[in-house]
Amino acid sequence: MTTIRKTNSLLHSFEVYFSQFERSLNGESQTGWHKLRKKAFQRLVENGFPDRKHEEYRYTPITQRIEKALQVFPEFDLQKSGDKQPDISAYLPQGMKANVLVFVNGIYHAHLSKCIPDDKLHVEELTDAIGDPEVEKYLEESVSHTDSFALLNTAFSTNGIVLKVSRNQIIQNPIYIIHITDGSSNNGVIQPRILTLFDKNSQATVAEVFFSEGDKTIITNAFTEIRVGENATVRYIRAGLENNQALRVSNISVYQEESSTFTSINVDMDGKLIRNNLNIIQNGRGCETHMYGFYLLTDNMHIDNHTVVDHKYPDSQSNELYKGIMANKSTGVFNGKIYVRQDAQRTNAFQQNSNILLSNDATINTKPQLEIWADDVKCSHGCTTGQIDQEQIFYMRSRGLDEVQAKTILLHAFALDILNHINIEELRSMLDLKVIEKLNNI
Amino acid sequence: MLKVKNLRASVGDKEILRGINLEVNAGEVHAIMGPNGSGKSTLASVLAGREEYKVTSGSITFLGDNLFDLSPEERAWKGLFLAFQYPVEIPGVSTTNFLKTAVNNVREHRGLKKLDAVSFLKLMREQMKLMDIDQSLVNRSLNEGFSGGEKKRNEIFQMALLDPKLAILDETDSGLDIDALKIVANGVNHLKSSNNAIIIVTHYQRLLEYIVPDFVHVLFNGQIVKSGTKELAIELEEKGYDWIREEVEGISI
Repeated sequence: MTTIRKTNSLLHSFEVYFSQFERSLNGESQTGWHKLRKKAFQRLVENGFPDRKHEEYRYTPITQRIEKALQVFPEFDLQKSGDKQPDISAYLPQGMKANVLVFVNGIYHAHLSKCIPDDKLHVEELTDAIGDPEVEKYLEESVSHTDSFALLNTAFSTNGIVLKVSRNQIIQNPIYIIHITDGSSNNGVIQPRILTLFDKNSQATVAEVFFSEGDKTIITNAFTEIRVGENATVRYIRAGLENNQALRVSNISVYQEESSTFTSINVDMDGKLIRNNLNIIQNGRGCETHMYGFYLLTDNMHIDNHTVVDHKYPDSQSNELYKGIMANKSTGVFNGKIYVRQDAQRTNAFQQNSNILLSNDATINTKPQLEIWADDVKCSHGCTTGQIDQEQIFYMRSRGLDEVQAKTILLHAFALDILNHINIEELRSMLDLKVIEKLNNI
Repeated sequence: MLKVKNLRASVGDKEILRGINLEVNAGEVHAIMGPNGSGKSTLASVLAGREEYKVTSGSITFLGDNLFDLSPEERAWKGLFLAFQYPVEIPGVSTTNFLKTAVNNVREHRGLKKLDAVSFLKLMREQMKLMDIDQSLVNRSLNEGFSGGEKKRNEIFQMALLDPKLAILDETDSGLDIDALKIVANGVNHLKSSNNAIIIVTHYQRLLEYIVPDFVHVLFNGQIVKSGTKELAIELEEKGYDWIREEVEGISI
């Protein structure tokens, strides 16, 4: 144990924070929930934070970056909630009708949130949901998560939410979750936690959008669990629109039951260092999974998408397409794993990662991985990395488009291939404008 | 309109054009014929400004300007149009939006008012009729999944929209059945006027039955070895290119 601590000074910092955190919990430290937090923290201590030798974090020095940030700012205010009352309308796409849930610095703000009564969405703060056997069961399960950052989130979990959609319920309007990271006064580590439970035959679209304010260093360590019940259909959109200071790790764990459909669309265009872990487990027969991703990197940005889909039962399918544009000195990472277990006969699994590098100093590390134990499957995976097609550019220029216009049109089309899967029109337009704005400045 | 003087050009180390001389005036239709590998497409590419081709000597003036000083888009703005032999497919780029941008760029540089969406669509519909282009085609991504004939018709359709001074049709007839060929030829004939000029680059005489050239040039081994009128094209069709080869090589011996 001690040797790990020596090699992992970040862990030591968090041990100090954890004891501070426990002291702040007055009286709550004997509850079942806190026992789970302690267990999660104990597992984190055993695992340590991933260093560069860790296979899953080889290309993304997130531990070192956080370590560095903590050295500069030793007094991290862990649970600092935003003092300001942000103007929520500034973060909403124009004209969008949605159930709006607001997190400021990782803490759910009920008074800033607003649901559409007709949708009858059930939202409960995690502190109130404790005692619900279902919630406790899932919290307990999350203690056995293998990723250190997911464990860290569980260890420090406080004011998250539980979102429930009941059996046969169809949520007409999107569920729009805004995360505002307010770094205008304090540095900090924030740990937003969301548990979403979609019961049998239900249907909903959820979006989580991350914003940041201020120039202080805020480390976001988000953890979202999505339980998709039998025959339920869930569409999940995640977009990062933070400033260029943002350091974020996102863990998204999805569990699909029989005949369910889950679609995720992940878009990142900002931030200093972003790591997304999307883990999907198909827990039943006939599941359908779609994963789309788009990343647009400029300057020194670093964005890492790790995805796993685990086919455990027969007659299921998954389809994955991640596309990225890297400019300047940016670094992209894509790692996609598909497991097809022995029982998962007649699985169709497709995976593709396409990248465009716009500069000689830009980098992409891409690794599509396919592990198949079943024998009756259709699977394919591939990746392409290239520059802009000069033949296409020449064609457009010969028709009177200037070089910048031609490039922008091509790159925009590349992005739209992913953005078009976003079924919240106002959000898609907002992201689309952002893409165009960024492309015009490359 | 166009003056090509002693043009030499190469790709890599290989010299392909070895001293081309050509003059094209407004109102004229020129056909450039020749066997495969004679340099026909290279000439078209050099005129349009494709970067892989290095001009080693000679000059080209277009409407009084040194063509080599102009980028491909500047050439388009000034009124040069190349109909590609192999139009490239551009997935995800809407044909309509692309054409609107192209038309308005060209208009802007010619001192004309940009067209709003309604006027552009009106113009587009008129030209679509001319080239027998279906609405579903312009709703699709640019050239994506188009048949060979659709791609070629789409090229002439774009020519109609951009209203060039000088159009170069690079093997526009290849891969077309007779019906598509007639549509393309009708379109080109419709656009022909005393103010513009057309260069038809082709291997076969077939298209020239429908678009009658004023001049026919035979390109061989990077040089124009013979010029004449439309009768020359017929002679080439009947006798093939071998007699040219014999004549040229006879001279050089």
